[in-house]
Amino acid sequence: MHRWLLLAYPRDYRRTRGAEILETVRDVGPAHRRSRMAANLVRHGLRARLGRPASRTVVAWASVFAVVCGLFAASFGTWLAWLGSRPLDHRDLAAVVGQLYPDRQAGHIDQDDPPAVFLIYGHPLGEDLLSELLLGDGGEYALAELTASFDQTPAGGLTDLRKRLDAAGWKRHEPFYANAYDCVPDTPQCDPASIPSDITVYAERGDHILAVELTADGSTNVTLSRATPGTAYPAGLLGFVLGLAGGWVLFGWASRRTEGRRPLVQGPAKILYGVAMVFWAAPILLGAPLMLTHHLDEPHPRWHVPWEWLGQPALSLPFLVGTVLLLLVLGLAALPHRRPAARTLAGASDPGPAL
Amino acid sequence: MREATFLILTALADEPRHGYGIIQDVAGLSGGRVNLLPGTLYAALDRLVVQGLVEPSHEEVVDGRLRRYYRLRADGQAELARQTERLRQLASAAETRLRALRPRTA
Repeated sequence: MHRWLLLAYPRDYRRTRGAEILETVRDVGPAHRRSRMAANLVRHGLRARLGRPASRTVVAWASVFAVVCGLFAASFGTWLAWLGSRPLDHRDLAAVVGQLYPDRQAGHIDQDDPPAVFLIYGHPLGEDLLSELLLGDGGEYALAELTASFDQTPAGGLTDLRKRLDAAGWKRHEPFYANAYDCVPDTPQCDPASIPSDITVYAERGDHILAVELTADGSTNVTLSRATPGTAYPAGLLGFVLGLAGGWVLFGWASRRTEGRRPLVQGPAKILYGVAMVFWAAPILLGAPLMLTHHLDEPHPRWHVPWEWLGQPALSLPFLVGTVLLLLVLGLAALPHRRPAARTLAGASDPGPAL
Repeated sequence: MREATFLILTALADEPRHGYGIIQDVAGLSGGRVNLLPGTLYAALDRLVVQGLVEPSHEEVVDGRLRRYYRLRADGQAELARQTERLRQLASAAETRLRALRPRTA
């Protein structure tokens, strides 16, 4: 079993030290629990992947990179799961509107199915809209919705709406009240208590999310969208684990490849990595608290998609720049160089069998 | 310096030792309190080798089993002496205060 656990160590390390470590493990074996020994080997094997054994900071840098990779990979996993979700059907919206307001004619109701699960300015993301996504309008990339509206709120208002939602089998949330406008600060003639409210009722049924907004100006808006697909959760978890592991291994490879290199390689590699992490992590540090505040302020029958918590794709340009910088770091690490033979084991004549 | 690192340097002070030999000696030096696991030992040896305090000495194959020995370098001896002096000073200071305390607690 311990031979397998040595896979936590990088290949070069296993080649030079694997046999030696295994012999010591066999000698020590009876004195310790196998699980404790195994955890110890995995922990130090993962640390050995980073190289730079005397460094006090390399573990922190690798952890940041691995966690960020894990978060982005989790987002990618859930995005793929969303792409596999059932497309919205405009006939479902017509049926819902018919159930809620059978005696009213909608002023507007979408008559076509959305062309994709996610849209930007009503269109699927394509080459023509890529520049919009990158240059500041990434926040417009959002889940497709179907909408209907009435110019006047039907009689009965909120009370009838609740009854009809219950009768149609919707699981509804408590109404959410939002001021139609805010008072300008330091204007005593504006009484916040007298500001009219927009009322929104969220409801769920099957894989549908319904939002009915009764606005202060007397109109009603109905929005139908998809609930988070069940596959999104395992896909996100799997993506996180793979991203975390991949990030650690990739960082370790670059760290070992640049270890002991000339300052001309090490210096730029460290600077590029640092700047890239700012471009990758800053949107997360900015976006996540804002999203959390927003999430706590309003009822959410469906969590925002994970990449929005990471500030994406609103800040996709910094992400792209960070990616290019990281590719440059990997390019520097991949530059061929002559490695000192078994640097940490000077004098060792036989490296031992590869494991 | 961590206690385990200090004990590894101490274990190598009198003669070169292989991995298991270091583990046994460290356990003996600490009265069985510090039992190094192989992963911890080799991570510490890597660090000490890079810091120039320890170096591989030679290898032996006994009954088909590889034994790689490590020894203290001159810098390692100097560092061990420095740490020993530091600990001696600390122990001495603590001892002085404890001595001063005894008559009052008696």
